[in-house]
Amino acid sequence: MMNAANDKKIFKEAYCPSCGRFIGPREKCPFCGAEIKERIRLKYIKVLALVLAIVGVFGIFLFSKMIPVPTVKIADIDASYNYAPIRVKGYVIEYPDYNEESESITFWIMDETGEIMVKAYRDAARELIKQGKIPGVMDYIDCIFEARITRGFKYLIIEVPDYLTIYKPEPEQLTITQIIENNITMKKAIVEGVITSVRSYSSGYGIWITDGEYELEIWVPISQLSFFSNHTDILDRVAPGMKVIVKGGLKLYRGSPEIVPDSLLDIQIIEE
Amino acid sequence: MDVVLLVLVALAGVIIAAFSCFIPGLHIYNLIAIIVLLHLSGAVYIDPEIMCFLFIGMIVGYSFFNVITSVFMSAPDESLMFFIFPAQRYFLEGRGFEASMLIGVGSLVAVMFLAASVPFLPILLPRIWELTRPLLGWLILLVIVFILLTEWPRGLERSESRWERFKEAWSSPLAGFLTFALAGFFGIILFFKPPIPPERGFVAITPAFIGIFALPWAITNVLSKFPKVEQHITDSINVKVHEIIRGGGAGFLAGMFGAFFPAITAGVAGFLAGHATAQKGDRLFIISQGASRAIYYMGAFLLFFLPTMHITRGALAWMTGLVFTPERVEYYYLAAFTMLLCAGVSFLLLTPITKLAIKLVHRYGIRTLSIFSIISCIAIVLVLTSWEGLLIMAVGAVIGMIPLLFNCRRSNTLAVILVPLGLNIIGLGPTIAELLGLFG
Repeated sequence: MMNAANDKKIFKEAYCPSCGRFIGPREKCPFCGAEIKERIRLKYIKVLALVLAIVGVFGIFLFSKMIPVPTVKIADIDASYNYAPIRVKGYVIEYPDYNEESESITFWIMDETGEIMVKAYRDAARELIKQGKIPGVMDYIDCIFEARITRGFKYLIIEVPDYLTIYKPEPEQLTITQIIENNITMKKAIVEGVITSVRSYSSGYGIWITDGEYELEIWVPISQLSFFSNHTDILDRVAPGMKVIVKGGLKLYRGSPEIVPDSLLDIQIIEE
Repeated sequence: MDVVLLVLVALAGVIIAAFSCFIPGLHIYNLIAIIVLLHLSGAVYIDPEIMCFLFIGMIVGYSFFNVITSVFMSAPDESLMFFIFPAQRYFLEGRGFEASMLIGVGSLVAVMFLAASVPFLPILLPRIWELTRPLLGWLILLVIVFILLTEWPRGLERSESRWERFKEAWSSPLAGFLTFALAGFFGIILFFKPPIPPERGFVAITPAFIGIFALPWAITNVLSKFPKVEQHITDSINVKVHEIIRGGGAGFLAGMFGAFFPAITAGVAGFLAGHATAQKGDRLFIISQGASRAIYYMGAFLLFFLPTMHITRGALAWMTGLVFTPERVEYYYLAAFTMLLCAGVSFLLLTPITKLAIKLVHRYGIRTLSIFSIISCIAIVLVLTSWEGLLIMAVGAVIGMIPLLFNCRRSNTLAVILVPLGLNIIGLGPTIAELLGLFG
């Protein structure tokens, strides 16, 4: 047995490399039909497979890096986009809401084709708050999202806060009368008025101001207190009779315009 | 909700699945993705409720009939990779029919376990989820460690030099670790920046799966010489009742484990359950793995209908969720009973379908069927994605070939899903993708 093994080792070329049988000086195995001379060593195929796999993966990596994330209109996002990384640009139409339990931030954006919900969870939400990247109403954002469609509902997820860019449009100086009479919304504005009442709700604070003719509500969502906890003292100070200037986004609430400041710092008391 | 119509549609799904099994390497998910794509693109309109029940029939049928392609045509999917060798041994011994029946029996018993658990799942699963959710990252990490630890140095230690012996022993595990690393990196790229059009985002990982799990076998089949083994058709199977119950029970636990926890596939779950329940012998192994994969596919889809928690597990649930929302409790019970019915019908059909497969393999040969399989894989990827998808599939195929060439564990290729999902669960996924410069 040992001798046969030694023979095979020494007279390697006398044995068929495919079936291992003794074939002598033949160039083709009479048993399995394998060619003896023109053969490719398995080792080379193995090395080739490894090289191809490594080059292939890095090729895909470079290819992925090279192609930009496509910019998509909101109306074009449908179920087939599920999990696709996409770039969407649009105006924020609802002030971000913060859910402490799930540590998530939710807001809505719109472009010329439609509206969609945006969400940031846990780490991304914490990072947004840390970086102060909380968009205000009517801010223009440009972000890379992951599209998600769950049970028929479509929304966008902020995965990396660094890829959220917030542009703050120049606010327009408007009077309350102009806003109410022309029903102006979807705009950044600076408005002046005298406080008539301050009400607190479970979802936020309503500060009513007047220019003598009409009233406008300054809406401070409760989530703003979570995002900008250092500036809450303004809410303790405001009282009827005070004159304030507020900068924020105008939006429609139950048929009437209201102004939502980007943060509590955007409410300034000018006359106590 | 027309119950009779929905059940009939589900049975039609079983028939579709039965015929799809004659194309080696064709995963039912690919067929379902094409149906969803046609529906979403507006090319074909199918009522979402009907589509959902068609998918129930297709997935139940697939979980029974796919054993045929795996046993007789050597083309397992990712859930079958662990038990293909014992089943292939049966095939080479002319006992392929018996192997097919063993897997079928295991699946059927596991479905009975599933049926018995239907009333309890809505109560139990939310509690289990509550308890295990914070530990998911660890769970996946442990599965990864388990996969890596199953590699061991191999070799006969007969080479003369120490270096030769070292090389011989470590080439397999090192190739395994390299496969894991490449598949994991590949998965990260595909999860965070798949180089395919965004309107095909829902099937971004499909070309990689086809490449890694279907193509290597088909290529190997084309290159290999297969002995023509006469298959013996038997009217009894060599198994004991307690083995069926034990294998089916272990398979049920494994299948539910895989179905419930993200990133754990049936193969890994079945392998873990096999260790946990101390299985020994090919028969028990084949039964439990068959049961595990059946429950993995069916259980994951049943969770989609669970009224007490919104949970989406497995590609089928994700794809169905794009078009249909089960808003009523009745859907859960109807889906469960439809699955039970489809499982019974599938088992009855398993005998004639297996016989037909034996005839087909005998007539055309595995090589011809595999060439057809490669062509259909390319066509599917092209239809579902684009030419970029073919590129991804090709890279996946080369990664999938490494374990076959180096005789290391194929489970390493599961890193394509385990690594990115694991990273996402522990919250590091986007950070790593950003570090790699995949965003932007």
